Amino acid sequence: MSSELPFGELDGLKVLEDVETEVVGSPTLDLRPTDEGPVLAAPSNAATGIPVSGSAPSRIARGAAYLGVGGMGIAMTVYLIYRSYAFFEACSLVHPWLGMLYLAGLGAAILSLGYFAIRAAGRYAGLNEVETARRRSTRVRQRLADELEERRLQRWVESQAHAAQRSGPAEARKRASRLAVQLANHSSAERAVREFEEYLLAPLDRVADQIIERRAVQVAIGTAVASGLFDPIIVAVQAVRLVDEISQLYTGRPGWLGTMRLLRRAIGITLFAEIAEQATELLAEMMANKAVAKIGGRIGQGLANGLLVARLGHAVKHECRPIEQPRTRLAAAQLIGSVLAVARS
Amino acid sequence: MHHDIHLGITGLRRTGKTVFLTALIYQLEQLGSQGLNAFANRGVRLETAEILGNDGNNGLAKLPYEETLGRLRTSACAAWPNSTDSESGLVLKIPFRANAYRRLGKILRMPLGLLRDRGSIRLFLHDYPGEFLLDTPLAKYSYGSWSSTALDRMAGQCPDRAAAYHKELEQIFSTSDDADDTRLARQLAEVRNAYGRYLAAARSAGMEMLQPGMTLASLKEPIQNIAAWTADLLPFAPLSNAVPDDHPAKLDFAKRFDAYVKERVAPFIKRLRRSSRQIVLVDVLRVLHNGVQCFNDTQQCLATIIGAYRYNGELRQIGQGLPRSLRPPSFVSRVIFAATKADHAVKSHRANLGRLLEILVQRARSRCAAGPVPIKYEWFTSLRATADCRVPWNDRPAEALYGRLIDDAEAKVRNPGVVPNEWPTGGDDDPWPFESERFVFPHFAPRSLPPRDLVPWPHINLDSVLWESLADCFYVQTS
Repeated sequence: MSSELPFGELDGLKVLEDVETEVVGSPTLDLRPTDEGPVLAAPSNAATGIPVSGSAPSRIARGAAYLGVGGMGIAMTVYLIYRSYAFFEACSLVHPWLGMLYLAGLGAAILSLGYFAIRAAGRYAGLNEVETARRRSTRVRQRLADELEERRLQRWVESQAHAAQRSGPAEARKRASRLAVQLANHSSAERAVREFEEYLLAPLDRVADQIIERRAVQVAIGTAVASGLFDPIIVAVQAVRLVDEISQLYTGRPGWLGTMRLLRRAIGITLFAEIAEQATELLAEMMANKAVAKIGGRIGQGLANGLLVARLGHAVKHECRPIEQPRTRLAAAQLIGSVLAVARS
Repeated sequence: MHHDIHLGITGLRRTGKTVFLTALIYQLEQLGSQGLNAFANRGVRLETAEILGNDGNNGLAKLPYEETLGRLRTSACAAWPNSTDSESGLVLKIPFRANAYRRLGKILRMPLGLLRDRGSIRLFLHDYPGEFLLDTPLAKYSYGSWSSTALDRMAGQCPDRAAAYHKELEQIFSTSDDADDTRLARQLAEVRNAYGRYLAAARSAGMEMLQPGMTLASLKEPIQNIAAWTADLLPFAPLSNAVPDDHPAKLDFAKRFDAYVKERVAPFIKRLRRSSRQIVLVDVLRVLHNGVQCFNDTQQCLATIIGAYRYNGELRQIGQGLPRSLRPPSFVSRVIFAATKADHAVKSHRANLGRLLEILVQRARSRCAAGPVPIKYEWFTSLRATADCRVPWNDRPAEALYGRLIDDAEAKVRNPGVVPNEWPTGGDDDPWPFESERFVFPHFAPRSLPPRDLVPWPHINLDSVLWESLADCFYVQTS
């Protein structure tokens, strides 16, 4: 028998399966799970998640990332302890019980934050990494991928559509069905990626933008209205919830370097909140009309904190998305949207 | 917001324009956007369309939609429609609902009449034979310049036949003993027959750039069967510079050429130029089947027919909110190049149609890329004639198609041929002859469609083509 199927009529060959594709209804699509296993299917698949193949970050890069984040974390912790102690001393001068009350409140807040942070960290760690899918999809888009990579990516997209058809809200299941119909008509990885983005990721992107907007507004209002003491706590809590919500939305997370980048940003904006508060107080002292200066300063702080949280949100979205988006223009447009939302608040 | 969209369906003959229009009308009239995933995915809903007849559609005859529908619903052996031999059209009114604006967006847009969350579209459809498009460049030529161009083109298309034509012209215009009137009539008849023979040979070789296209489109029988070409069938033919400009034959052809352009070509171009959206249908499989000469010829054809339109996106968009009498003239604001008959290739090769198409239309694309006109590429089929299947081969499954050929009574499994991801070069190391075995691509007949209305027709990416041509009519939420 020759290696190539002869052209023309194929007498005597039995059809293995007839994949009839119609406009309406789910086609009989071969949707066996891929070798890598589904990514969007369930967070509990962490153990059999996509193996991170290809170029892993070097040990030096990883060490530097840990060092940076760790250093920032230590610096922030020490600073906050110093500030808290200073405030505790001030309260104790007024009345010892006031100092104890402050410590109790602070302790409760830290415990609560710690609980949510640990829970969010656990959920985050349980998600599958998206690095491989991102890398493959970028190579496919640039037409640099070989046949094996394209086929794997195609099957990964098909598995996403299959998994999304079985779980989630009704609207998402409908979209997944439509995507399955589209995928049944071709075997092009490039097109599969595009359709995956259009059918499944685009609505998630909209939800992510709404989450980012909501959190940014909450931070803006919270840090503008509340006492400066609580600014870092407000920002930290919202940052943690933001990362948690968006990563759960995409049911994926970046690898270790990406995670360190996000952590660095989160710590950075928390620090900024504290520093901005100090700067505002200092400036207000120097102004003639202290009340107006304080109010203006609080509003400016709120706006700045809101914007920084929005930036963090877009960074999380960029890192957790299984298909890389062209960043610059999109992020700028989204940031402007977030600015308007924060300004409206 | 109300839109008037003149949809220009451009394409050479047998690329599927009529089937596309029929499938489009059926889908919109019976089902609206039901089954059109590209619309549902973006939150846009088209209600069922109303056929408004042909008022305001350039005085065209009504599109024979019901007749084509009847042929496709024949229970015994459904058939594709006959080749289009005249212009026709139809107008549809399509109400739609899209995503809701945010409050601020609505307040800003409402006074300017720019709300796109709901409204209607009047879709003007225009069907015509593909050959008509090939005559559009005639408006820019005189008879003499057209003759030179045509003769150069003939030498590129079928060199042997072109040389034979030149030889015949020499013999025809050598001195003769006939009286002047008799000689002129004989010469004109012989030149027409010689050119007619060339046209038949070129058509058999897969060439499409054959002029005058409008007269060829109205032939009642295949071009190869015509023995004697009269002035009605072929008003003029190219004459070389060896024939003096004041020769009565040349003067006669020039006069007929000018009348042809004035009476037929110019009015057609005027109707064409009302298009505000353009879908260019290309049969990539036919080009693969017919070899390298056909590739060169098709490239030239597409570049020629694109040149008949006007392209500029901005003016038309700005003027949408104005009353009809104040709107700027039509320009094509969106172009979609679409490879048809995607269901005639196996599943894993369909995406290659898009890649091949992008290369094939490069010259045409540069003609319409002067302004800010979005250009999209797609591969699709308006009406699926085949089903995907797999057969065992060498202990592995191999892709094939299941369908009925035009001349067969029953459907069978076939391997239709290979669609490569790059065009063959046609050189010694990559031969690409006419009707190569690698690129067989048989002609499948349509599947018989159910006679009941409201049944969705199977298609591939018809929704995507329609969406690309109408996308800017709707508001799509991006955040």
